[in-house]
Amino acid sequence: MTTRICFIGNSHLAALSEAWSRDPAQWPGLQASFVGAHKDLLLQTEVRDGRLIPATDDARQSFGKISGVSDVVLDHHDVFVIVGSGVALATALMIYRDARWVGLPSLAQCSDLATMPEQLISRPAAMASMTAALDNRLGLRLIRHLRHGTKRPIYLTSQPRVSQIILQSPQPVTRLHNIALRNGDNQALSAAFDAAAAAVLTNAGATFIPQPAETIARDLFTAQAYVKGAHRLAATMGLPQAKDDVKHANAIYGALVLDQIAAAVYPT
Amino acid sequence: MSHPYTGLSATAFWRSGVVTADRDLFPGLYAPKFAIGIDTKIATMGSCFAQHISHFLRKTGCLVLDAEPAPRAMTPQVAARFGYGLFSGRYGNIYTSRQLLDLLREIASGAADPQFVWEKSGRFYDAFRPTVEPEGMDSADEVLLHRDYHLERTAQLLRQTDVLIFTLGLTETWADRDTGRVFPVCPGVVAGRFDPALHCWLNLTHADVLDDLTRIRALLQRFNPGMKLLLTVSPVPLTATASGAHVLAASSLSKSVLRAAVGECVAAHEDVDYVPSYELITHPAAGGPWFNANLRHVSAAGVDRVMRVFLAAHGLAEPDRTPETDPEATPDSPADDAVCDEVLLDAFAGGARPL
Repeated sequence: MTTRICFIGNSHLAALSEAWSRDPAQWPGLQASFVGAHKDLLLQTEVRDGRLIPATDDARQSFGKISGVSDVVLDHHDVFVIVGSGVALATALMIYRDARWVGLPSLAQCSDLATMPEQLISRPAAMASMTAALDNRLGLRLIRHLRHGTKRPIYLTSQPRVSQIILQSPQPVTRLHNIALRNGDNQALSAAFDAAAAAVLTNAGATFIPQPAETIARDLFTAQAYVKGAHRLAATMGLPQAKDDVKHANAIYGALVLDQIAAAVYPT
Repeated sequence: MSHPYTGLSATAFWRSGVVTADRDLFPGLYAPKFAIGIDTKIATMGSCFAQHISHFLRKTGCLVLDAEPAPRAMTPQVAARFGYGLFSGRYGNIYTSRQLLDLLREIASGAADPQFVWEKSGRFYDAFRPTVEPEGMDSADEVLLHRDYHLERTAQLLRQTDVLIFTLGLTETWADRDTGRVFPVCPGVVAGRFDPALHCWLNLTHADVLDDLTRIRALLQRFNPGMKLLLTVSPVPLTATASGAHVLAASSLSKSVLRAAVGECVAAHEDVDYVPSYELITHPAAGGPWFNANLRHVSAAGVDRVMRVFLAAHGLAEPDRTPETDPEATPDSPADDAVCDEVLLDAFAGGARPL
């Protein structure tokens, strides 16, 4: 029996679609189609008569150029997988920017909590902040959108962590990664993000697929082997990776995510 | 022939002070003893009505201190649910003068009392602010860690405060028999377990409230000599009474006691003043009705009216009127946003469905 999977996502979709196009035979029993669009164009759609239909010219163009489709017939798919779409570790780091909670190793080392520059907040407050932020991300909004037209299983794959190469050349956007690493909070933050994402997906009637463990370096990063040579989602696939791209993963990474999906769809 | 009433200002007479006066701003009704400017460091505490004062002053651009600000990445909804931004600290609702006095004494003592941790379904709550952590915490130790932090941050707040605005809400309260410490809600309502051998009901008298206020003033001076105390009485009636009286009569008694004690405290101290929010909302001469459909919550228009009088008296500009709420929200909804612990008692109103 073949399971028809529709992968929907933003630029991170490229890693999976490239892995699939290289050797679809790696995943017998799966039939994949990919629908991608940049930024929030996937939300510039409407669910009508069992179809996901672009509602703006930009979305229409994106569907046609990137995916070669005019719309998605929802009933033609058994499973939907939302890829990336903002469900990222950054959510945990944003709350970490000015808050600490019990469970973070750095808190135990702090001798005077009242004078630390960050706020002491409870772990439930931290988790509620993360889940509220995640709930507003493209991926979750897309799930709610799709739920108007389908009751079929929906999975969401984590957006890959940033490349570990930033440890060699720190960028302002990754300042918090370095602070967390220095403070020894990396493992706890990574676990908090995965737990928050799993909770918010369950609440949305979907399932979270965390980043493949073997691709993660020091909890907060994607190992360079899974980033090098990444391609972004574009009308013309195969464009070389921008030198400053630390966010996108490559086809090796994409293949591991496809393995996760296959395992979820066909649990052993 | 001369007598004490000759030469009094127009505000001293009902006809000129009320009937023919501008009953929107009521000139002279609030004649501040001390100035509040845009740079005055203000702290707010009190019942749920105090949240409106805090919110409005912040919108006006006043310097309302915040000892425990919400992290920037926390959404406003999550922040409100966890007690952030409602007052100048995460003390939750402080309904009674005794509750504030207890808090100030606890801060002065320098440590949280470990016996006041409530448990519910394996989760642990701070008995003195049980609703600021709606999901509770993993352990009693964690509750105490957070309480110690809260006490220290509140001490830092008070050391910086020029004017503390405190809104008194209730006289009825529940106390621990051994220590006399009072709780914001009856044990067993949010968490913990009510035990008549351990807990007792109190209805503070005029003398109690006046004594509390006098002690509060003295303690505040220890944090920051020169700190002014600005009192208000919440116009919000009781949700429930344990007095045996009808709740309407119990409300009247409670508010009368508070108003009388506040009046006497204000008369006795130059650095204590009163904002007549209670009169502006509840008195028939002040128009209205300024309550929402449940006849408890003050409407957005009511809050706006009180604050306009307050701001005009201090020569402060009114806040930007750009709507910040959902345009489809009902006219009643903005003022309903206040977080009131005692509303939980509504759940126990037999068969009655709260509005």
